[in-house]
Amino acid sequence: MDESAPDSIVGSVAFEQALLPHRDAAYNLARWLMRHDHDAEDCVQDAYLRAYQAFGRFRGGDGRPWLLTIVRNVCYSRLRQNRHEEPPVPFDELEQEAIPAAAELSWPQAVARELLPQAMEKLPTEAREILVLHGVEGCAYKEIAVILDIPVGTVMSRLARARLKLQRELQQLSQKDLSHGL
Amino acid sequence: MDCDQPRGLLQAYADGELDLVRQLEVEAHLSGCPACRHAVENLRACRGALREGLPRYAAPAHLADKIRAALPAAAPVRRARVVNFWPRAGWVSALAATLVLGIFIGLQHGQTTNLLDEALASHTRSLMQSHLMDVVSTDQHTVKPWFEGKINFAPPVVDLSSDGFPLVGGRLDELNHQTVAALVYGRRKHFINLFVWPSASGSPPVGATELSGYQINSWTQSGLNFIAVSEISQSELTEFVKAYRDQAHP
Repeated sequence: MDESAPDSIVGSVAFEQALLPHRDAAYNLARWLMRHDHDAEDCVQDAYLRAYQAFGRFRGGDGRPWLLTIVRNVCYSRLRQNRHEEPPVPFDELEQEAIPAAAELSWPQAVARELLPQAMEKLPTEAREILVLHGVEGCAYKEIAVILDIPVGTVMSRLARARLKLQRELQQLSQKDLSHGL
Repeated sequence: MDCDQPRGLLQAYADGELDLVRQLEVEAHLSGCPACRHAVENLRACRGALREGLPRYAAPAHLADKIRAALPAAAPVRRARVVNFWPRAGWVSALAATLVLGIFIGLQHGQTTNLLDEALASHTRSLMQSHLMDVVSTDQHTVKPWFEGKINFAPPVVDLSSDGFPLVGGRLDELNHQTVAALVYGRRKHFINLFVWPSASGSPPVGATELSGYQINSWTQSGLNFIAVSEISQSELTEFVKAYRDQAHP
């Protein structure tokens, strides 16, 4: 009974109260991971259905990290199915690396606004994911650790490396922009 | 160059993730270290650029309905039937109330039954969100004045810790378009919501009821309506009601 879908009216109501308000967060994450409106919508719907079936395991409190964990799992399995569209990205191989020195980051003073989303597109999924969770969704390290099921230390190193990667992509894009402009 | 600062510390500082003590330590270090100051500026610039420069995609408007429609148990529920009852409480309590109304259809309390439904919906809502309490205090002398100026009646706030029902806090809620006081009492790991409001505009059916596994107990006294809702057993809730009534209306 514990792991099943809500079997009472109150359970269904509780489910919707706990999780439906987070649909923007769910959609935003899915949209960034899938990079496509319809795929994102499918994933979110699928995630809600799975969340419903597993609602017995929800321990109350903030529903957002619980839901986002499911959303990302759905998205990743979808991405794995469509692997021909997205080559496997070895971002995790770097996971063992220590946190990069803060001084390595030299954020470009003036970033052309339109370049930022472009640079995000070029990042490995996991880098994009952590930047979106932290930067767009405003999740704290602890919440990200719950969503991604990794230790807080790994959140810190992954975030630092994702920022560095984004910076490099931005630099490359702005150089291209410059050479095109000439 | 990162000085001898632990890796990640500056990032955590720039992201506002450090506790006050560590934050002050980093600040002391920064005042004497231009390199780290520069690193923090970079981190903040990066953070700010992401925050302001990336879109947060909002779910399409139809998504909520699609999700609801896909859920097996919720599928038969039609929201439109109750929309005009609860324009402010939102679809969730409307949903709860619709379902509960179905159960109560055989009773003849008419309009007043809605109050029990709403009290139940409000009780579950308060447990789901972190907003169980607007004023968290185990002290009746803190909770009581908190309500003053917010509502035009005075809910009797009594402490029942000696009876095993410690006062946890209070908040404002809404039942049937009326602002009500909600007192929150604890019972072991469970909560009791006690809704209180003037009885001038009608009263709920009096007595003990069970709705969807929740226990409800309501009464009217001294011009006020009371509805207690909890997941504890009815005998315990009755015990609570007795203890509350003894103290509130001696």
